[in-house]
Amino acid sequence: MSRQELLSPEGLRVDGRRANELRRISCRASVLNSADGSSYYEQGNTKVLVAVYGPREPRQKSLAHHDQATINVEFNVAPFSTSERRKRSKGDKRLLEVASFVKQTFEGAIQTTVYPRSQIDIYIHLLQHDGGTLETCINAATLALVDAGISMVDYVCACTAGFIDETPVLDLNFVEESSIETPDLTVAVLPRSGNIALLQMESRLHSSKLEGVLELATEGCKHIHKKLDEAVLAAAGELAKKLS
Amino acid sequence: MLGTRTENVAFRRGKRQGLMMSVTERYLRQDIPCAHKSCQLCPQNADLARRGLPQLSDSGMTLIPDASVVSRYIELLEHSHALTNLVFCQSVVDALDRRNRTRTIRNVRGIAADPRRTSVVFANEVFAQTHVDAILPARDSKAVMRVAAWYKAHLDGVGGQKVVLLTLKASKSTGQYADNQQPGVEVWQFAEFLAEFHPTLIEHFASITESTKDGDMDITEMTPAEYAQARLLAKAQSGYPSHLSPSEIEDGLRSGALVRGKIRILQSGGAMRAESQGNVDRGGAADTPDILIVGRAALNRACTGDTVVVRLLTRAEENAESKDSGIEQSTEETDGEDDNEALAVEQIEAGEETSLDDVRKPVRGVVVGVSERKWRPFVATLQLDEAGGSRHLAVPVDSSVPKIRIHYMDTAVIADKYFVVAIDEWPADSQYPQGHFVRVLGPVGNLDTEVDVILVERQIAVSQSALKFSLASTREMPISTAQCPWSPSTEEVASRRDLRDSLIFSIDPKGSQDIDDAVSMRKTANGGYELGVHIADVSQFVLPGSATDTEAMARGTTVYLADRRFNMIPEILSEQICSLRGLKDRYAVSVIWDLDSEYHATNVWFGRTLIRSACEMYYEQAQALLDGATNVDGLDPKMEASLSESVVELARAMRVLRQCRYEAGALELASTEVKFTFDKDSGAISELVPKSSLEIHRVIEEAMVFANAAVARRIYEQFPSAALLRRHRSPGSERFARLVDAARTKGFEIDCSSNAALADSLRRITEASKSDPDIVFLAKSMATLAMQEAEYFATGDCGSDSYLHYGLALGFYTHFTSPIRRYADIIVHRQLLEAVAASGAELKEVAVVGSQKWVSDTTGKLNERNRQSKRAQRESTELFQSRYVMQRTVGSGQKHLIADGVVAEIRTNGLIVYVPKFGLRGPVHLRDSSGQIKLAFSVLSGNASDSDSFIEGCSEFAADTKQLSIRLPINVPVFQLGSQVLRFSVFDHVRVSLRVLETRRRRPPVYLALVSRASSSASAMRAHKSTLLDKTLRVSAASSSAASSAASKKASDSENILSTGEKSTTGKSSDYYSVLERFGEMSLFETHCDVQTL
Repeated sequence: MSRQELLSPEGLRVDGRRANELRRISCRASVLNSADGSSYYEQGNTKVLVAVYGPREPRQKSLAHHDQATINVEFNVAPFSTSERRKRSKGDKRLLEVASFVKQTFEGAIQTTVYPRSQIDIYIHLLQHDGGTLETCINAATLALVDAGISMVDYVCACTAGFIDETPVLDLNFVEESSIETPDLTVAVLPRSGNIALLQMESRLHSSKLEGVLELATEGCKHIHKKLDEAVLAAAGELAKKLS
Repeated sequence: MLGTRTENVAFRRGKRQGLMMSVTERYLRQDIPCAHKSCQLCPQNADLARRGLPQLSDSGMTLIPDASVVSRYIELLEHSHALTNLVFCQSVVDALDRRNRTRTIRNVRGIAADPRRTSVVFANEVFAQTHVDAILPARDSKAVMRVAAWYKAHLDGVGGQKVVLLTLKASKSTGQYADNQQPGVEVWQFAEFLAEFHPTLIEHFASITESTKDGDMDITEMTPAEYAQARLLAKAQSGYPSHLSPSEIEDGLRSGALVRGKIRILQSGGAMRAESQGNVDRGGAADTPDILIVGRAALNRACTGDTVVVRLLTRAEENAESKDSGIEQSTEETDGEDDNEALAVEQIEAGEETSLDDVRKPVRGVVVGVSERKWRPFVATLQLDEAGGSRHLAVPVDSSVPKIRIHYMDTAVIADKYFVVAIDEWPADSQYPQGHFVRVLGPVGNLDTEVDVILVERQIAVSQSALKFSLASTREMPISTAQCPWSPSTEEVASRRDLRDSLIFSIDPKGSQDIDDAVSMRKTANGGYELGVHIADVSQFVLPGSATDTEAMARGTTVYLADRRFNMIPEILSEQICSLRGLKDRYAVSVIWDLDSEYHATNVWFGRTLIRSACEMYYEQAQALLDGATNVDGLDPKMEASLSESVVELARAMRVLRQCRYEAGALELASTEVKFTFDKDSGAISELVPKSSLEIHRVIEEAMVFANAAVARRIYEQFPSAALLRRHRSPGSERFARLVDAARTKGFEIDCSSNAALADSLRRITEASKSDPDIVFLAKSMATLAMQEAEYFATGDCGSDSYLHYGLALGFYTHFTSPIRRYADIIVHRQLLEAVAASGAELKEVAVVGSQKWVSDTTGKLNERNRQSKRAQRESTELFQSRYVMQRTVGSGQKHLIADGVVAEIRTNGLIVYVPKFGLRGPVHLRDSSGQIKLAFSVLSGNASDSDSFIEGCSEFAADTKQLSIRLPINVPVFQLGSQVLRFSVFDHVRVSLRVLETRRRRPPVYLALVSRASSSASAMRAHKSTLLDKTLRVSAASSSAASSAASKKASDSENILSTGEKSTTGKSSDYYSVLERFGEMSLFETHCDVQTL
């Protein structure tokens, strides 16, 4: 629908979804051979490629902790990820911010104490950008980490939700996200325990509405968990096929 | 749930590059409901009902208009309630959106939300069964056709309703839809459809067809890509030519091909419209006229105050330019309310801009470079980007500044508020300059905020609170409290001339706190007089280089606003220690003359003194003494006799001095000043009175002029190159053209060859129009306006022949008498004291006040500060006038605030009327921006209540500098006007109704509406006439319906009344027809009675 109409009176969104619908998710583990673990993850038109290396010896000795592994996250956005070509510098604060969010999220989920004096590298590449960067990065990284066989407490599933015209809206795409009035809440949960690994929001939202939005996002996370699980099973099945 | 996914391609303008393709995904779903009331197949219809959306009804046919119909005839669709059961396709809405037709979309949504219309928006784009792939040719029409076909098939099960596709592109079986015609769908040409089923709408249809004939209302004429391309091209064309490089400018200036000057933009208009124009003042000599720059492109991103480089246009180019100007239209998308409001404000302001003076053909040019930007922080309000982005337009309060694009996320915080923006850059491809948000000032309409706006706009301070004095300067202040009042130190008492025994008094406005001048006058033994002017010795306390001094210099002057003031020096000085309060010992700098019996100065003494003012009088008291009154209210009876003698002597002396000055050619000028009195409890303005002028005002003024002139000579002697003087350049006589023209309409000749001649002419007008002080005032203020502003300068900056003060007719003049409120006076004090100290001894020109460069730099700043503070003062007066009018009209529920006024100027679209009662000038619009003549009906009826309705059919609007005329339509009774042509000339009296324009975004400007032509003097006459008119109308109305016998009786009755009112009527007759006939000739009869009364 039209630009100012993010949610039509009929209850349809710009891309034809209803308020509580996720975009289509398709993902695959083990897409890169050289990496220890890798994944390709699509959520709508947002496409991410993740490579995980490790646990391995830290590059710098100073980074090594004697009792746990160090997690290193690098996040890159391809210059061709949007229709307008744009190169970003390494030091772009927005990139660093996303990287640090991902890092914080996984520091809680990865059993780092299992790998003392080692480093786990997570390289994330955003190939196409259509909103929900952080959620796709976390989901893709989870898949890649599972693929690399790194011990984790649980999957980490992330999902965004916003609030448009008094309605909580799941999984914002780029158009919805860039409207300033739309608050944009990203939640990462550990689905089995229901613990929240990350909660991050942009713009403002009345505190009384937060619960509804959070609930919707958590619901989305559960759905994503299913998708990730399927992908892991599929990868495992393929591996089993190779072994047999 | 989600079916197949597809992608939707759209084009948009990129930030950096030209046209961008933007791809968004779309999910095709199965669950889009048909929204038909009695459809059982679509379970989701219940969902629509729950959302409160209307559904298609059973009756009639289902109409599906395509994009061509919706985009062109949305107005018809919106207003014709007969058209129901409309299905708007999402593809049509999308197509509108791609062309930025937000208003049309809003209308569509309005129809779809109205339950009476039983119309819906059908999301065909995301419905799997109706989706059409984007790559197909003519896909939009295919999409609409598919919707129609789907509805036909779908509704077959429900009730088999007819489905009609409406288009402009086809007749029944040919055209665009012919090759994808689906069975069962009827395609109708919209016009044919209306003719067949809704013949009543044909007329409306035709009128829209006519008005949108050549417009680009029909969006189907262009494909989206073509449209985007066209817009891009339009943007590129509207881009500004790039500025020349510094070296090119340098060469051009040297060769004389280019001119450099300061630009002043008169009207930027809301959206920097093509009619924006600027004047470039080349500076320097008066014989180079200003260069006129017309149009946005010619202005080429110059902003008011910038130093620009201009290329002059040749005559041929000029002609070409004026032909082109029609094409150069702003292609900016405009949005509803905001624009209307802007337009309204603009109309009000336009009256002040389009001066007829510009009729003279000026030199024209185009800006080719900007050598220095004068971008200051601007106060602005927000115009929201309706598309929901974060890039908005800030609309500066100053209408000469273009709108500024800003990037701001949280618009709720700054909507309806004044905020400060700064301009960062103005790239050539951007219509508006790019800027950023700085800070919020406060809500629009709040008094404190409005004052802050004035302070920021005039660059006086960033806010009111910033005008408190710093701790550092407070520490420098001497201590004076109620318990321990300040007293002169013994050393100072010893070194100063002690005048505490002399009778010294001050005369100031009532309630003044900062008394900076006192006078003394006494007879001497030898038959002469001793005249003293004593000025507060501020320089004693404000030492050069101290924190207070720096601050005072930065402020330059005390700023007086209507309800508050911002002091130049701390209150402890201005109101206590420096202020020459009664019965307190105070330091002063005095000028004491010995005058002979003819009031010629024989000797003059300057120096520091110690005085004790005997009495703080206010003007009314002093005037009473001057008038010979005794027991004046508030005066010490013991003092009264001696005070009275002094005041009378002083006045006598000043009359003589004044006369001398007049003979030398001094002008008596006027300025509009009003005083506000405030209600103590509510803070509301209780009264608005023009400042009165008593003789005593002129007496004090003359004494000050005398002192200033004496000091000016003295410091010039000492500092031939660095004395700070004040001059008033003599204006060229062409500046007075308007005054001369206006005076001529009233039969006065004005000679403006010199100040003496001008003064003489003005005096003649004063004498001739004693009964009409408003005209005298206007003539004087027009003369004032024509002159340049007086300014400070350092004597070394120019030759001694240009020291002249034109208005006062003095060779040397400076400001010495108000050091508490003007920084220039402090400098003059220092120079004078330096001069006094050095007299006799060798002058050591070490002090900074003796440096020509320093004085010259400082005078530049002071002139600027003065100008700004004057403007601030004027703006605050306007603010309060507007609040007052608002209070009296909107606030009190009263509709009209009627006042008498005088036509001050004639503009291309109306009059500027001066209302003496409130001391305000305001525009009266007689023609709106579309050229429609707006003449209030009250001009005929004389009733203020008729001032909102306009006479239709006026013609022949003509305006020149002297006269504005409007021809009334023939069918209007013009009894009291006497003629079908209504004329206004300068100095005519009119009655006006004062209103304010309520806006969300700005201080509401006061504007006037014409009530009637004659003024109070003729009001009795008019009252009589209007009853006459009423009767006439009543009689003719009654006569047409009543039986003839009854009517004739009535008519004869009314005739009796008439006859008693007016004895000069022709023979009495009871014949009804003859009465009517006489009414018909009333205009003649009225003229006749005019003659009688005159």
